[in-house]
Amino acid sequence: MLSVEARATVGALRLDVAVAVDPGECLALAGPSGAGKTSVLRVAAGLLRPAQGLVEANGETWLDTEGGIEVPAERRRCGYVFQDYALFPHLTAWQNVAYPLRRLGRRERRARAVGLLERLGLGERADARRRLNHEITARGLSQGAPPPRSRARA
Amino acid sequence: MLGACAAIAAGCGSDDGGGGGSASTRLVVSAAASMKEALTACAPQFDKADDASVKLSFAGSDELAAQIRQGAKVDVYAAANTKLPDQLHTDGRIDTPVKFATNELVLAVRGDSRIDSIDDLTKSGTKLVIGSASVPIGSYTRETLAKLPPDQKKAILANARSNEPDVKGIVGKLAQGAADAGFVYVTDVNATKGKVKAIKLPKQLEPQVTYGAGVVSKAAQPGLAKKFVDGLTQGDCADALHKAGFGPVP
Amino acid sequence: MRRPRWFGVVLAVSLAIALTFLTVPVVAIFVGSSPADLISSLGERGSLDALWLSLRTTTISIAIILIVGTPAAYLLASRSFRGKALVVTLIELPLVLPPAVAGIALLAAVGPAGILGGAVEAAGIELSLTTAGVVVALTFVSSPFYVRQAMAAFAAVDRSLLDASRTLGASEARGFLRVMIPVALPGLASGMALALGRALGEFGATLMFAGSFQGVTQTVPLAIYDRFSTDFDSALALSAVLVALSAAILLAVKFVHGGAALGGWQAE
Repeated sequence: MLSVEARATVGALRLDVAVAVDPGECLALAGPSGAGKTSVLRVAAGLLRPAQGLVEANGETWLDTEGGIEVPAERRRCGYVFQDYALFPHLTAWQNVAYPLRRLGRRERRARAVGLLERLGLGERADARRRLNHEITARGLSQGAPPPRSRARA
Repeated sequence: MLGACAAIAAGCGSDDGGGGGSASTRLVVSAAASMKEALTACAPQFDKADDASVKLSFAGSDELAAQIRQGAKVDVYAAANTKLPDQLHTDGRIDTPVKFATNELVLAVRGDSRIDSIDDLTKSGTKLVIGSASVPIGSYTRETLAKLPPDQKKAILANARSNEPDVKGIVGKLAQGAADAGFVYVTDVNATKGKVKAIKLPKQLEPQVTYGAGVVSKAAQPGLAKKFVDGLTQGDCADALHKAGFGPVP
Repeated sequence: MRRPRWFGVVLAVSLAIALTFLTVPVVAIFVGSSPADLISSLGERGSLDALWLSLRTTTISIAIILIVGTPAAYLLASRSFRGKALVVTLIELPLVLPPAVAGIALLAAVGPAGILGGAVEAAGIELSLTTAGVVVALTFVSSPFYVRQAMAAFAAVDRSLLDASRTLGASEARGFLRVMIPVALPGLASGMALALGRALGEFGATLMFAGSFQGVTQTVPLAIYDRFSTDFDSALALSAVLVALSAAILLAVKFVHGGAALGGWQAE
């Protein structure tokens, strides 16, 4: 369960939203460019701090401006897929996917990452780097979805 | 293309040289660093008297001699010894040099220093700055130290912390307290106007410091150059040198 | 992009002039003396001391610049704060200071009679006329070369990469080490090469602040100056080594980082 309330000024945009999503539910935000869709997501993830806001997820309070609570983005268990994919260009496919895995040996990290990639049909591209990132990006674009690797990572 | 570039650069840099016209004649003078204050003061007077535009270049005398050997377009060469001008003359680089002044090698220390003789230089930990072996101030220093008993000389040289390419580097470090003592000319001490004080050397250690100058063989302005060199012995520049503390030729 | 004919010719001629002007002096260094003479004068004690000293002091200086300058550049690239323009200008100042002025500035700051001179002495540190002083001079004049490039390199990194790193659970510090630095590496390497070249060739500030003494403070440029009047061949030999070394550094950076460090428009 995720609920986001936020009031903020982002550039020329005056944001004033309240959204809630139940577990298992999928919520789509639609609107013209500049409406604030990305800003809502950024508030939820902790990348944007609103002037006033309340973000709760699965019983945890991630942000409460009035109560002085703010959990930094890196500690929110929130997966985010970026509009421009934001894949790390200096890492191979499996390294990108394995980025959030810590405290595991290299072999285990690679195994887990390759496993995830295989589930998305990208197993044989596990060691690919830059050039193929873009290829996959292009493929993902043509399918109208963010590229599988970006999703595997998030 | 390189030629075109050089031609443009030369065109930008040259004055209206020689032979009448309203622009004054350029005279390039390479002089030892120790003469900086004196010659800078008298050059304007020379300019006025002879319708010239003296361009002064100061550095270690050995540095300047090397530039002349490399073909630098210089009219007058004035050094802090007679050896370098004589060498240049032997190699056909300058006309017969003349002696025009003398100077005195002294031990210089900061105004508040407790060093008062050359013996104090043997104390370990003393920061001594001298000239490099090839520059006149450095060779005069080594000449003087060679007259000392060998272990005294060794102890003093062991305290040397820098071999400066010209005498002004020694003076600068003394004035800034970076060095405790240095061997310079008495004229350099005079130029610091009290920041640095001179300790006279014992008569038997004093080297004969004679300055020599000459007209460079391929000088662009040989006549004017000769006038300048003569003026070092008698004239405005000679007066300026005496005022700075240079002595007459014996 | 098609250019009109005459414009292309003008561009080519300009490049030819620039190239000639810059390479002829360098070539002359190598042509001036026979290889045998060059090598034998390099074997002299004084030359070896100078080379070793330059190597040591430059390495230490670059290490300091990288360790202190990288986080500093990142801060300047990623945050705005009041007075930032002033801070950046101060950091860039040594770039436009003539080396002699830099030497005077160092004496006035940390020389024995300088404003911090007392503190330095009290700490038991000796700077002027020492090898440590050489390192100080090199660091002072070379650091802006690195910090400026590093700032530009960090600023050019896609902001969303750092955001992505954070959403994946990495703190900003981890993100800095694992994403920012690797992605900005070509620019950082380029800055380091510039700083390295500057440090190797540093002369005026070193002479003024640290003096010139074989084995202690006489770096290769100072040794070249010392030999200029007495042993021109030796000066040529040392110059040749410096040129070769600087060229090697530049080439190494270009090859390791390929197009990104070459500058200019990249083929997408």
